[in-house]
Parts: sequence; structure tokens; C-alpha cells
Amino acid sequence: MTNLNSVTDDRLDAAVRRLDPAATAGPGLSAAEQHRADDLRARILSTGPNENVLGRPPQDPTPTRGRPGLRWVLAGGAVVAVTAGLLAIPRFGAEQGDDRPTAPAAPAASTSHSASAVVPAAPTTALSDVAQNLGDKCATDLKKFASRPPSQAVGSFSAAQLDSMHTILGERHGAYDIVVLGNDAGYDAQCMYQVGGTEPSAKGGINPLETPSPSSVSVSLAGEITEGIVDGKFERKSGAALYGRVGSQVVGVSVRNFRGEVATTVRDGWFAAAWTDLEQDPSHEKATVTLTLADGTKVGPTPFSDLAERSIPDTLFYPAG
Amino acid sequence: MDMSTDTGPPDDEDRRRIRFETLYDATYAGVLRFVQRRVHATHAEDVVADVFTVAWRRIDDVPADSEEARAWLFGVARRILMATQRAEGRRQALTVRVEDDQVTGALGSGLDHDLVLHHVDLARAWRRLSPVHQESLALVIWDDLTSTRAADVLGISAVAFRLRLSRARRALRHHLAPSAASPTTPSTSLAPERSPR
Repeated sequence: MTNLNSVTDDRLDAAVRRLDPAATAGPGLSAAEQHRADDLRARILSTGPNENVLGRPPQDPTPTRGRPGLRWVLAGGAVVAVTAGLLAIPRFGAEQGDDRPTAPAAPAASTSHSASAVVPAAPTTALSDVAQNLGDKCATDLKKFASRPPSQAVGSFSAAQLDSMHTILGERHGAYDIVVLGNDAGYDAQCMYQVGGTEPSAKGGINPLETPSPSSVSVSLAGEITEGIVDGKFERKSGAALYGRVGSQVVGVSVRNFRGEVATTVRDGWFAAAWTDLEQDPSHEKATVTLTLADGTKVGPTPFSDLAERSIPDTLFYPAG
Repeated sequence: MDMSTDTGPPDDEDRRRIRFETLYDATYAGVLRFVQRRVHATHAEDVVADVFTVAWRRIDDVPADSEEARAWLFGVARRILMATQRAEGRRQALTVRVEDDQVTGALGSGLDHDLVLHHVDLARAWRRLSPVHQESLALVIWDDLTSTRAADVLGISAVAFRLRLSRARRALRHHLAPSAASPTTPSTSLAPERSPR
């Protein structure tokens, strides 16, 4: 028997077509359906456009260029994707920590980057000493963590991937020093150090980010929230980073969320932006990304949710058996 | 007293009426089938009535191109169905029914054993797809939309839709793979996944 799982798209589609629950009805209307259709048309046309011909509350779900109706569907999908694709190493000794490896929360305006015109950095921009030191520390810590049993050290945390990573971003935002690393294979890693702390919470991917087309990007979001009672007072700290791979023609990336523009760095085939004041509401779809290509062309703004993310095989979503 | 709404000069009203009649005659059957694939037949015509009431109210907004107009109407129908699902506290993605209870119609007569088995396997694999993947496949295969028009229905970009469609086919193939079958415990492994019904 031919296996349907190995056939072409056309043959698979042809087989699926036979599952159509409306196929038996045929493309045309039955006599009874036609009668009711004619009746409805007469009723509608006998009234003005704004009258309630059906005697029910009017529905007005006109398609829009936006995607409000789909937002929660896609937000949920994004959460699943990040859950399936991210590895997380809890902060060592951080009992109050609230590590959220699945927290692709809303990009909020950075308090250390005021809302102003975005300054896309050139791909060749040198790292500051601070950024380089943070990146080196993150890489060293990740290797140390990954070598500790019972670490499985897969994906981003495998020795081969860690060895080839370079620093994309290292900046202080509020209560966190945020570091993003990436390599040419598309693997990423992120460290978040609480200011004054020594060991980070760290995240990486089981799978790499999608390879973007020359004039596009693939993206990922990571965030951290720490809440607790300190000296009798409630404290909440947060930080977030949006980063990803850039296509070969992309020289600038601007990220805009509902609070404004966020300064972004482009370096070594990656871009990254970080901020504090992480929103808990998963409304990151409000973020848009605008690209500047080498010839000066602007692409976008493109909603975050329309951009490719991590390259996750379906087997992670649908485990066999 | 004339109870009809004044919608402008008579010629404009005639134009709108003709436009609606043309649209209605060309698309009613397609919209009905679209809805029947997603809700029980007993509710389908009520939903279609809502769709065309919206179309009548917004006839000036309906795209002139016939395929775009069809996608516009499908988009309206989809939003009505999703609003109904939300009101019922159900999941947020629109699920798509599948003819899997029995082998019927063209498939039920004169077919070889392999095809019948494929049909059963495929129906089982379909049930394991997420609603998002079901919807992507249904829009293209059953509703006969191009990727661009299907993207219009969902309110996403064509690029995003093609990516979603590709993943949907991949997921379906995965569920059809022998290793994905779990005949002894089909319901337990499917439980976390959103059931299509």
C-alpha cells in the first residue's frame, strides 16, 4: 500500500480533498437550499442596508488589514513555539527567581533608551568594552553550566555551538545586565544578570532560528521577571530582549512597540534590542520591525508575528504515540 | 411613512442592489459550503444569513474582484464563527470538520481497499492536527483559495500563510507516518491537542 506520508503535495491534497464534509453536497445548491437562499435574498433586499433584517443583534466582523481577531490564536502559538524551542537554565541560588522561559511578553519602551528616532547600527560597529566583557562572561558561564551534570548540553548549549558564538548585545537595562549571543549556524543564547549578582539565568534554543531571506529577519523574544518581598516591600524587576538573525541585505533594524522606538544593534548577521519594564501581557504582536536594506530601501513595518521565528520541527509539537 | 433607509439617490441604490444580487448569486453556495465545513449543517444557513447581511450593509467595501470578494465573505464568515466560539468559551482557533464517520459519496463506491484504509488513516491524522493547521489546509484544498486569498481570510500575510501551510502539510505527513500511529491509545495522546470537534 502506498504511504500517504511520502507522497507529493498534490497527491496529499487530493487525498485530503476526499475528506471534505461538504463534498457530498456538491458545488451547487439543492432545491431546498436554493429555495431558502432565494427567500433570504428577498428578505435582505426588502430592507435597507442598516436594518436588522434577521431580528438578531447585528454582527459586523468585517475583515480588516490588521489581525485583532487572530491575535490570541497567534499569541498562543508563539508561546508554544518558544516553549518547545527554548532551553532554560535557572538562575543558580535565586530562590526568588521567576524564570520564564516561555515569556515572550510585550516589548515595552526601554527606560534606558528613550523613545526617540531609532539608530540602526552599522554591521561593523565595534563592541564596547562593557558589551564585550558581558559577552565573554556569559559565554564562560554558559560553558560552565552546560558542563555540569545532569546537563544534556544540546542545541545552543552544546560545546560546538557555544564555541562559535559571539556577542551581539551586552547592555544594562534597569535591574539587569542583558546579553545576547549568536553564531553563524543560527543558534542563540541569552544571559540575564541581576545587577549585583554573579550568576545569570540563561536561555538558548534546542533548534536554531530560521534562516532569513536576504531582505528579511527571523526573530525571538526572551524575558525575565523577578518578583518577591524584600524587607517587607513588594519588588518586581524585569528585562527583555528581542533579537534575531538578519538577511544579507539588512543593515538596519528598528523595533517599535506600542510605547515607541527601541534602539537596535545589528552585528555579525544578527540584530538585538533590549529594554526593561517587561509587560506581562503577551501583546508582543503589537511590536513591528522595520528593516533598512543596503540600498537604502525600507521594508516594513512588519508585525512581529509575521516574521519567521525558531525553526522547530513539528515532531516537537506532535510527539509520536 | 416609508420605513426604508435613505441610502442616496435612486441610481446609487439601484447600483448597490445590482451589485449585491450579483455577489449573492455568485457566492452564496460557496459561502454555505465554507460554513458547513466548520459548523453543523443545522447552523450553517443562519451563519450565512449573517454573512450576507453584513455584505449588504457594507456592499461598497466588498472588493470588486470576484476572488477577492469571495475571500472577503469567507473572512466575514470566519469571524462570525469565531465570535460564536468565543461566546461559547471554546478555543480560539477555528476548527474544521472532516468527513470521517463513514466512507461516503464518491469514495464509497467502487474503491479499492487501500484507498479506504488511506481515508481512515487520513481522517485520524486530520483529527490530530491543530486547528490552525486544519484551517490552513481547508482554505486551500476544500475552499479552493490561493495562498494570497487564504491569507486575506485569516488576516495575515501571504508569506506567513505559505509558511503555515507548509507546516500543516508536514504535520499531516507526520501523523500519517507509521511511527505516529498509536492504535491502542489514540485518545490519550490526542487529549492535549485541540480536538477538532
